[in-house]
Amino acid sequence: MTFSPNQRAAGQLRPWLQDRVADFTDRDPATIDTAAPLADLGLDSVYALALCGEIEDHLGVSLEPTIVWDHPTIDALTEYLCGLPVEAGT
Amino acid sequence: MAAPTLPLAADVARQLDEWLGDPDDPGVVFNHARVTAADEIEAFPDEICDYLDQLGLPAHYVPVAYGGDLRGFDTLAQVLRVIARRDLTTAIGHGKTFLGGASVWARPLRDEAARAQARTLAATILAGVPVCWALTEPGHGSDLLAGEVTAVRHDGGYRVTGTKWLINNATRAGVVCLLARTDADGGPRGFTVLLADKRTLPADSYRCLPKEPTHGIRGADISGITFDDAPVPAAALIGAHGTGLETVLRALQLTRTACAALSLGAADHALALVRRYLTERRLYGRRLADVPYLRRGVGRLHTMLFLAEAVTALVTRAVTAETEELGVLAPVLKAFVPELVDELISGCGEQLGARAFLTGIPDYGRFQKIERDHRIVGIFDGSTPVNRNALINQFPQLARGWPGEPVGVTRLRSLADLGVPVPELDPDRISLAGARGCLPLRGLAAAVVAVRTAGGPWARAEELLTATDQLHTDLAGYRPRPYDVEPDAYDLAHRYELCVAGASAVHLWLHNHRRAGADPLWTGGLWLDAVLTWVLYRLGAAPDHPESYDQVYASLVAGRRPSVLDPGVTEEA
Repeated sequence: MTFSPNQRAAGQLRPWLQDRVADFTDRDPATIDTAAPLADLGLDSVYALALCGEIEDHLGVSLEPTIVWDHPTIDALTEYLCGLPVEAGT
Repeated sequence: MAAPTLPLAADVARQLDEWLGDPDDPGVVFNHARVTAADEIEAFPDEICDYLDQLGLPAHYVPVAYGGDLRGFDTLAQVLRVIARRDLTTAIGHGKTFLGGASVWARPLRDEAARAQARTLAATILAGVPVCWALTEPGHGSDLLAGEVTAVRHDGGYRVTGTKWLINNATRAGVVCLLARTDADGGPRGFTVLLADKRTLPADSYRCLPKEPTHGIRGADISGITFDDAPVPAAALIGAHGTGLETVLRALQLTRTACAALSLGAADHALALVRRYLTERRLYGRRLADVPYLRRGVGRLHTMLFLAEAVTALVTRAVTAETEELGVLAPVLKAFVPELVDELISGCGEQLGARAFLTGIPDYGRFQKIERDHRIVGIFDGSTPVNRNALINQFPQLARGWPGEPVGVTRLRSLADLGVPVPELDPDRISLAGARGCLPLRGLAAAVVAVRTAGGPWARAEELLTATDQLHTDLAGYRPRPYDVEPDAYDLAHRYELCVAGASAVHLWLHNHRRAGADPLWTGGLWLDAVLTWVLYRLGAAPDHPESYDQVYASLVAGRRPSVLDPGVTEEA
């Protein structure tokens, strides 16, 4: 599992997620509450699995898609993703 | 790689068909007259199912790791197809037990308790006890997370309360595999799958609901069950508390591939009636089989069968050979094949004319039952729109992943070479992650070149590649939406299915044509040419060339069931 270190900083990851969720749910990013459950934002549980794919592509990592169920807000996802170990190589 | 001595899907299916005997013979158990009689009085085919138990059919629902015969899902599919060819009610009524057990087989086995649970369920199924899969409830349709059946912690175990409804075999089953709400708030971690053993539950803790009258599969036990504080032990949970949605989504990747087998069996049966009609019926001094327009129509219907066979073969082989691909391939297969076969059966009805409408006539009277029975296949286990939606959710990734790294011809061998047995299922390879593409499409470019070298219809294959490229351009322009998915998205999903099915046919021909010898269907890629003609026309990528269908009809061999999944077999199967 590898990370591009600059992309996984919380300061960059949170707004990126906010932007993605806004795009997925057809809303203005400014209206996306990062503490709100994704389901309340209009991202149902199966659809949310697709968000995981976007995160994988963005960070260049392989993730269990159910992380979006276990960390069901943008804040929780950001915290989880930033807490993942950085490994050298693939 | 599995040992080459393992039986191949077509051989196992042929053996079963021989055991079952001639369905026109009233002396065999599984005969047409018995099936028709049961349907007329809406009776479950008990006698036939008992016989299938004696023949060992339940072993096909249990992985070899637990003492069963289930290894490649291509074999399971071809076995179910043999049953479905005689009677969809029986296939659905008996085969449901595979769905009942799939949640257990699809789960990664992390500890001894999980293995013990799998062994116990395996023994139950091998003993012939029906197991049902109870997901749906009154008023909730396909919305799994709306479920109101609860399982509440109590005395180290759970108490189950609520109603599951429109459940195949709810009444007949000994064990109910059900999805229950285990957290009052619900959500993706608020449900758990568990096994409720009716044989040991207190008699007053559940009651089965009456069988619902149905349009098709009229003898099937489509009923329900109401639990009232039914006690189940903690060991009855499949996986950890809260993993139910995940468990169901994993199991559906397996079960959705088996559904295609039901469609293939129905198509075989309907087409057999049409072929018989064309050779038997004489009008104005000639057989209908000599009327060019009818030959073309029936050739086209067989072309549709070959397309359905090709994509079913590749996807059912992928279940164990390329399991990670199922997130895309399982919904593709479940959306595509039942709809295609509904159309195929409808086309058979046109050929049969009034006979398709009559119930009391010999032989052709079976057609209206096939038509009624097959309607359910596109609905259960996730309806066609539900499966298209699963594909639509993955559009952004599929678009980004195209064309990706080149995939060579040999990489497709495990999916397409019918002479190579597939490995056993490794549940750790099942993934809910969206895929960045699918092997049949990623391997198409290399396959086009190889088809040309092999003397096949490479130009049509190349047109399919062009259409696939265009499709991915269109996918890239799609903007995902959680609700109110645009109708256009479903058209894109259908185009994706057509491309995967067409590519499957290319790979199937490429990896098996040498074994087919002088079989006219295979020579020069005749069936592939017709299949690609049909696919390209449906994609709007090329005009129809119906003379291809004439050639398909001319290549059908009297007395032999048409199939592209048994290259080199020349006797009646």
